[in-house]
Amino acid sequence: MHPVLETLQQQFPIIIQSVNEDPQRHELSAQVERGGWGDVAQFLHDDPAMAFDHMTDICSVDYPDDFERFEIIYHFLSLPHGTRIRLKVRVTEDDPSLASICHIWAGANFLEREVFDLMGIRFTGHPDLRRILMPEDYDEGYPLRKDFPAEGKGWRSQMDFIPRLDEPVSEWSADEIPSDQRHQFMAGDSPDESKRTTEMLLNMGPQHPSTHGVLRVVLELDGERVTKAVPDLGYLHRGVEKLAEGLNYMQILPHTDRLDYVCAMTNNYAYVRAVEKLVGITIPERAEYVRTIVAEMQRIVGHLFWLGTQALDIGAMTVFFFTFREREVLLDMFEKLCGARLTLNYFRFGGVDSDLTPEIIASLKEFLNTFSAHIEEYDTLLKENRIWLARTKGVAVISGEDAINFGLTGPSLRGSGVAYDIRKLEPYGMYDKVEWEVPLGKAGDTYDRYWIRVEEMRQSARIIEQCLEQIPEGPIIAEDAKVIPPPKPDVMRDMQSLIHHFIIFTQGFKPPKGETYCATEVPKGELGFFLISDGSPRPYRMKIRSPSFVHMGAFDHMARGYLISDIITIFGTYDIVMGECDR
Amino acid sequence: MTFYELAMGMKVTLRHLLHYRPITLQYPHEKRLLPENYRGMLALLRYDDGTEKCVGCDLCEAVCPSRVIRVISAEVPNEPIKRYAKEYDMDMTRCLFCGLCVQACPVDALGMTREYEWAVYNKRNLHLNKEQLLAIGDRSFPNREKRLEFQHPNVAFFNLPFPGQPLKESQTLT
Ligand code: SF4
Ligand code: SF4
Repeated sequence: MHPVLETLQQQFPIIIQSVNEDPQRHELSAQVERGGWGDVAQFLHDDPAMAFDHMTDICSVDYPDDFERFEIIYHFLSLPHGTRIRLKVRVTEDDPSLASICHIWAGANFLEREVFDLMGIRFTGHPDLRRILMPEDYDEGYPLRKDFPAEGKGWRSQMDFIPRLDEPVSEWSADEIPSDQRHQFMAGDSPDESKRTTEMLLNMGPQHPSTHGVLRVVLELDGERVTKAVPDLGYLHRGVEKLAEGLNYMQILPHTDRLDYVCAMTNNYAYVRAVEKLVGITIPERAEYVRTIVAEMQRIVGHLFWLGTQALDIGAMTVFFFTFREREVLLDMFEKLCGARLTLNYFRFGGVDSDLTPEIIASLKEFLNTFSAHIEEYDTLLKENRIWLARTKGVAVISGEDAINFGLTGPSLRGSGVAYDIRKLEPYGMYDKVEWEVPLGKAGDTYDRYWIRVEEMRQSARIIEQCLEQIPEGPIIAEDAKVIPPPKPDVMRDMQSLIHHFIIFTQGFKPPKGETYCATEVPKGELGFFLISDGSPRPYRMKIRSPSFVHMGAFDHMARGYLISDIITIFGTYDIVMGECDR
Repeated sequence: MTFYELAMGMKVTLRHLLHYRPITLQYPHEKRLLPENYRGMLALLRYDDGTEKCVGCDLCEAVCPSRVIRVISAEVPNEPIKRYAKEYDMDMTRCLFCGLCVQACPVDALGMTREYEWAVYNKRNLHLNKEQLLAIGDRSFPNREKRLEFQHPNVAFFNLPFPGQPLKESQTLT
């Protein structure tokens, strides 16, 4: 047995009810008794042999037939040891409450609020347990419970917040917001009376050009300085996780395009990898190379997009035009490859949809030849630009320990000097066959994150170059009659293929019973898919660990003390996309 | 120092003014050339003799993630083993353009065209029926495939013409 599980069992012989090591997927999990959860969590974080310092995700599952109806599933990662662990706690329907772990991992704050919002589990000791994705006054129940219909309760026209023409006109009151609700965003920190007379509350968004979607932040200001910043999420919540429970595995794939809509390739990749891990498919080598190449192309696209918009938000318009020019070239290649520019839907279980043609490879090579010169060009615009330096150096600073504690990933974490890149820690695709480095920052400010993203583009170009050299000939999709549709020309010629084709496209395939968490490094950080299969063609539960959502949890911490004008920089520093944040 | 920076900045501006190389397109007047496999508007296809390809097997309806398609299939009159789609509707307001229906169709009766200018004033105009979808196919795919019976004996029983089937000339997009 794995030493971590052994120690846990020795330390908490009664509280740890069972442990399990999945031999195929190499995943550790343990069932914890609810009463002792706080102690176990503390031990996991503090003990040097455990050192699970990084909170990955919290998920909740509803099993309506069980006595202990709800299961809360925690995922932790130990950065020093590189191990992941999954802990499960069951609670009953009558008393759905559990000890909060916010004081141990600050990143748990938003994640616990999400579980409360969507499943109705109360976390005792949580400082601010409110709904997060659904509207705050939503009172129709908890959407992820199995007895909540996927289409919602009532259709839009019956929702009472939508005005109807046949209802009486509402009375104007002197004040739209009742006085008892005014202070709901001002909880905590009482103002220091000696310095000021009034404090200002400023709503930023949801319609603000630089929030990259619909994000609202309630800023509490002392003059121009931010004393508290409360993100209000959920304006783009579409219930992808709930939808997924009603779709078969293949049908979910196009929905993942719409999570982080500027980087659809890597979302596809993350989802497809999770399903492949669940089913256990091996991918042909050429397909792995193609996947790595397109994922890195997407990383370049994502970082170019970030660089352009971040500079635009700060006021440097030229960079935007330059980066979008290169982005366009890559998007044209995607279009040639799969027929779409943004919502790509290119990956398939066991491989990819279409092969890289010699024409695409040639244009990709040509692009790479000029790309380093283009990066130099951006550097000349920004690297020593005094305005850029003044507005990014020392803005949105977070220390390494805090960044880990908040569960940050991707460039936001590496900017603080923590070397955590899933492509190195748990190599997938062809990342262990090529040479590349993980750029690390020092100061943990926006400038370092900018530098990292630019450097990552160089590394991505390096990876693509090597992959293009090494790529072998061969099939681009695995053969597995039960999971992967047979090649189209065979379908109408061969009875067996026809039957498999019909079964896969009507019912979908049935993965074995089980569960798996699979993390993928996307341009924004760690995108994880947690799948629970009950043996049916639809996932019993699919949880998306989106980096943007977790990053927003650190927003308040990183925004305090800065000026209003810096708030835009701080939004941008995570490379946030609301489609993924709100899901 | 400041003037030097300004001068450097202006140099770039002037250089681009003299070497004018636009990378944008004047959209409604100029249009991009889209690749062959572009995933645009969906269409129903026909064989070279004008018969519909669709055999009403319902696979596209089953695979569509957002329930765009509705197929009502029926037997071809007087030919009990052959089926066709009596009604075929698509509600394009919900389509994700994922292409799964095209991949699912066993007889390649669906195609994705390169049409993308489908903005309408009334959403209900995006609810298309079989005739309209066939008309889109006719104008986008002038080169039609040979009918299946000439391709392979196994599949000859799918999709034969039948008496009274509407022909292409009588169909216009309403
Ligand atoms: S493209 Fe996708 S969403 Fe649109 S009709 Fe086909 S399967 Fe449905
Ligand atoms: S379009 Fe194709 S998949 Fe759909 S009903 Fe017709 S033959 Fe079947």
